[in-house]
Amino acid sequence: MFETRLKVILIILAFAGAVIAARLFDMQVVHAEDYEEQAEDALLLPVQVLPAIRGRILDRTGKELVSDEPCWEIQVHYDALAVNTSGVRAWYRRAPEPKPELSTKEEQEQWFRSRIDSMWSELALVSGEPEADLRARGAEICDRVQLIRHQVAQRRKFDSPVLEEKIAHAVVTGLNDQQQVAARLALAPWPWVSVEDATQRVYHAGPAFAQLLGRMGPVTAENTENDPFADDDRRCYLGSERLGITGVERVAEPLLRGSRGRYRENRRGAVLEDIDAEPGQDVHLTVRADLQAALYQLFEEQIDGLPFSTGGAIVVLDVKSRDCLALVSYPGYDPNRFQEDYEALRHDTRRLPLRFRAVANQYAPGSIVKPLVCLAGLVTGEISLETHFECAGSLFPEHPDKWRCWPNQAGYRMHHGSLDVPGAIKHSCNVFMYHTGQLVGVERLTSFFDMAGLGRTTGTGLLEETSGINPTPSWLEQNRNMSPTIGLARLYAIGQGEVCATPIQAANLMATYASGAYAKVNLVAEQRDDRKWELPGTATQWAAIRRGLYGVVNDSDGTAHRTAYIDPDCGYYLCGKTGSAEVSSPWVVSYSFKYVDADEKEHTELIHASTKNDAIADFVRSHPGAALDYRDIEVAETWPDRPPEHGRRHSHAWFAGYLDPVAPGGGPDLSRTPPIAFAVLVEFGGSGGRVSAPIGRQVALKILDLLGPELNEERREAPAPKPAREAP
Amino acid sequence: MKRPVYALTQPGWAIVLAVLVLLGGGIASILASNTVPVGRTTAPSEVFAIKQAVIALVSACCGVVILRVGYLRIARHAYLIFGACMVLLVPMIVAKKLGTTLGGLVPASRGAYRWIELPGFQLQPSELMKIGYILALAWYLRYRHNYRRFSGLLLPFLISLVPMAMILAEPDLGTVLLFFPILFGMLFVAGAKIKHLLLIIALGLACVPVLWMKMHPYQRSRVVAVALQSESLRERMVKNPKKYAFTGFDRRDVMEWEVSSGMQLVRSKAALGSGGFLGQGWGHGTYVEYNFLPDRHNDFVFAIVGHQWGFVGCLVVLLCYGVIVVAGVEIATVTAEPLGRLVAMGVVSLIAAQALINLGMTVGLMPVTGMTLPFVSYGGTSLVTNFIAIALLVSVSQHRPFMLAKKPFEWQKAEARSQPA
Repeated sequence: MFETRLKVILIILAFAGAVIAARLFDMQVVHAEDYEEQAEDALLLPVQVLPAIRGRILDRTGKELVSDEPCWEIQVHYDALAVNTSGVRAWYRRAPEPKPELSTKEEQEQWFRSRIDSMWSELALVSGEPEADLRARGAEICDRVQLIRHQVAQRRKFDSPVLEEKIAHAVVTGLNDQQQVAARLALAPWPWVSVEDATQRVYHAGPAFAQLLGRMGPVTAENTENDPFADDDRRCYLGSERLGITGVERVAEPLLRGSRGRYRENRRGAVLEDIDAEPGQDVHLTVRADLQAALYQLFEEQIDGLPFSTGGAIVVLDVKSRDCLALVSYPGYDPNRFQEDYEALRHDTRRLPLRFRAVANQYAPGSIVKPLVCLAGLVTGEISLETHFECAGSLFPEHPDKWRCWPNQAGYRMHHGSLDVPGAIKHSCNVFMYHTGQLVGVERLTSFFDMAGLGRTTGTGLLEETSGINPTPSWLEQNRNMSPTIGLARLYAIGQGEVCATPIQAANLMATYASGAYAKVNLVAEQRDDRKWELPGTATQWAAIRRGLYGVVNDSDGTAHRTAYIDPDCGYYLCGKTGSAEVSSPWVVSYSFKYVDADEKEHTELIHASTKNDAIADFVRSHPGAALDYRDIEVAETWPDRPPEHGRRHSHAWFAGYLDPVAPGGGPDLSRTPPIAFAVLVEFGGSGGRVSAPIGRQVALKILDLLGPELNEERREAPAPKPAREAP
Repeated sequence: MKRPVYALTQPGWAIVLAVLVLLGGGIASILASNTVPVGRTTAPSEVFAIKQAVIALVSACCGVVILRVGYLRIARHAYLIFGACMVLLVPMIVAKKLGTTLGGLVPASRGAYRWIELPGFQLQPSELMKIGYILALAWYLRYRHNYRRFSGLLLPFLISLVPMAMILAEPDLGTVLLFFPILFGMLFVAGAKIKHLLLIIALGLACVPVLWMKMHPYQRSRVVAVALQSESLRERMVKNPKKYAFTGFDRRDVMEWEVSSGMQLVRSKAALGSGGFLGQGWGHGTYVEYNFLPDRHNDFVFAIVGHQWGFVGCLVVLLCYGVIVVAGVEIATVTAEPLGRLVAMGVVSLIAAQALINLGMTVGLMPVTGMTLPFVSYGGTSLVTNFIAIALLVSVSQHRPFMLAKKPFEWQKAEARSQPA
């Protein structure tokens, strides 16, 4: 019995052995060639990755705005950046002679650390940058890679080293040929430092385009997590690369990014894989570089003369296609010097040069929305083309100081008299708008605002773009816990209150007035959106509104006549609308902090920041040991720092207009769509008519100057030129 | 006619010969690669070959001592030895719970605390536990009668759980897996009823889902990796990641499996397979010349054996283990002494299980567990342990059988005899 059981055990073990023998037979005899192939594959050297050249960004005419230029960079292996001593033996072996004879691990680790210290000094010498900066850059790279590792570990639920820890990272870029040769010679003794070819992004177009084109930054853990090309190993993001993070560089990132190449050979020297890198696609903007540069310069000249203004924006749109022909934001900065100037740019909290005002900043639109309010009144039937309202300087004659019209200020007490729709627009009469607004009501009024694109992004795709505010009743309830009242309706009718618009929305609004239809703005030619939404309103209603807009500039009593009139001999009338949007409170520039330091001494510090949270974060970072009472934080400086010369409050100055073709018999040709619309905003400029309108006039002249011939393409055939005189 | 103890026809010599062949193969494999991986870098292989030879010599001396003393005298202190091994395991568990290395006494390797660092060498108590376990279980079972009843099986089962739990706490899943074949082997030949054993196996299988949940993700990934060898399965997993999410793998891991977690297995199979029928020759072959296989000197040494000596070499290795097993079984048959039979079976189960698990892992039939190949792999404590086991086995073969006690394990005849005629 016992023997039987032993036999059973023998049989079981023999069976197991036979299974293994069978499997071995299968592997070693039947499939031997497959495994031989695999073994040969094992001789492969690791893949060499060939970086791709990033696509250029071109303007409408094909002029280069940004391109990749070749340069060299100094790369340091991650082991040296993080002082990771686990592979020290291998590094010691690869170090070139002469090197000290070291055999124990501790000695080699010491050698490793001291060599890394000397490496930083040498890098500082070679690159000309301060050693502390370089070390800080190295520490930043380590932080970034560790964050990537942490995120990957969270996803996989166990921790293991990531690829970025086994490669070299760029520490110094932008070396030219001479520098790179010198660097190679100087850095040869450090086996973990290498000089590789690379590209750097060069911006050819100057500060006019700085915010529009955007900038590049290093790939972060978030980018690798949400990478749309995670599966394609030639296109996925590597932790050592850079990608576009703001502006068009980011919008068009998938197009601009090319595919890396691969090169693989095995240890016996045979080349197995040789795929070239594919450069990225060039991206065309709808913007015209000459127009943008000219307008930026114009702004620069004009704004410096104004006492309170900190900046502004100009947006020019082609009405038919809604191509954005210029997207100027002032002030700009030199994008090629961004790294060096970053601290200074960040701390300039009065001018805020890093903000892309044209799409990111929202301001109360002021009188610019008045034509839209009139349209709302006409279409809903609350008013008609025959309606006249009497403006006596205020909405309620018995309360001359409440709900006033704008000419009714201390010392002026003027009023408009009886006005119809075009007249109200021409004179920008508040009282007319109050009447219309309270008849239409907040709900219907905001629905018209929505139809014209307020409260929605304009479709450029830019990350920085904000959508403005359209205070519909549900928005009011959710965000302000208010319900719509008549008072709000009146406020919105003059473009004040919660309503907010960005300069690009204002330009699109003007294009909507010009064409009668809303459409999305196109910035990148490869990402066009050509849908149109017609606004309601009959032809006569629209004609009345456009007559009003014509009158603003071209009638002798229009609000912008004195400052914005242009001679229609050029073939176009400038029509438009002024706006002065009151600013409720000045902007904060810096905060003062009273704190007690480690020695129990009291100090007061000034921190430049535009929000309290930013200021607190900056303070904590720069004063780690300080004890701070959060009640002791006060606003130190605001801008504007004193009240304006005229009136009680500051206001932003708007002028938005379009070029209306002259009809054959003179007068505006109200049947043809104007080709160009634009908007000008001057921050803290004061009155729209006085400040922005002259700038608008200059803008119109520049547009005619630069784009004139193209605009005339659609006109009927010009009269035949007179024959030249015969030479005697 | 009794055979003289040292005659060449004794099964002990066959075992010794097989062990020597395996040892030689192991040392030759180590020498064939130029370097041996140590941590993240490598060290020259001659050092390791010499170390292996020295340890083998020391273990052989231990073995000779055990032979002189005799297994009976050792087994008398079985419970003491078992207790001593458990005491040695305590520092591991303390270190793991506290998360420290106890001042360098217990070095950590990727979160596992498995060794005690003594001056000059490292001691792995879980290996010694195997010997202690075999001796203690054999001593317990030797004169029992209740092994025919289910309740009689529970106590051995429960006693085994204690060392298994301690080793699992290190954590060391691979060694724990060995205890099951030993336990079942010894119970099986002690005479437990088959259906009882099958019932226990069924209970154990029922616990597998619970075990699966409690397994560390990387352990789960090793188990799943056996299935991941099939390329078509990998493609299906990449296409429907949600369907296979329970395995704990996501798309990226599966796609790069061949070069990350599965790399060892893929290379081991490639090394084995590329050996062909006769192998690439000693010291030749891409895996040996270029030092590509990680763990080529301990866990995956069989891949190097196959790479150099091909199918023929692998069969020789299998044959050596076969010789050890058959000789061990024959020793158990011939010996009438119950303790000797149990010890012999325990040792055979130990060696056979280790060999099968490691071979299965190298060819890709079993998940990677970190089990070494007895006598071939480089490893201090495991070599010593296996030598002690073999010494006990040979010692059983040399023991003179008792003539005075009744024949044990003859339960059928005994029951028949106790029936009234």
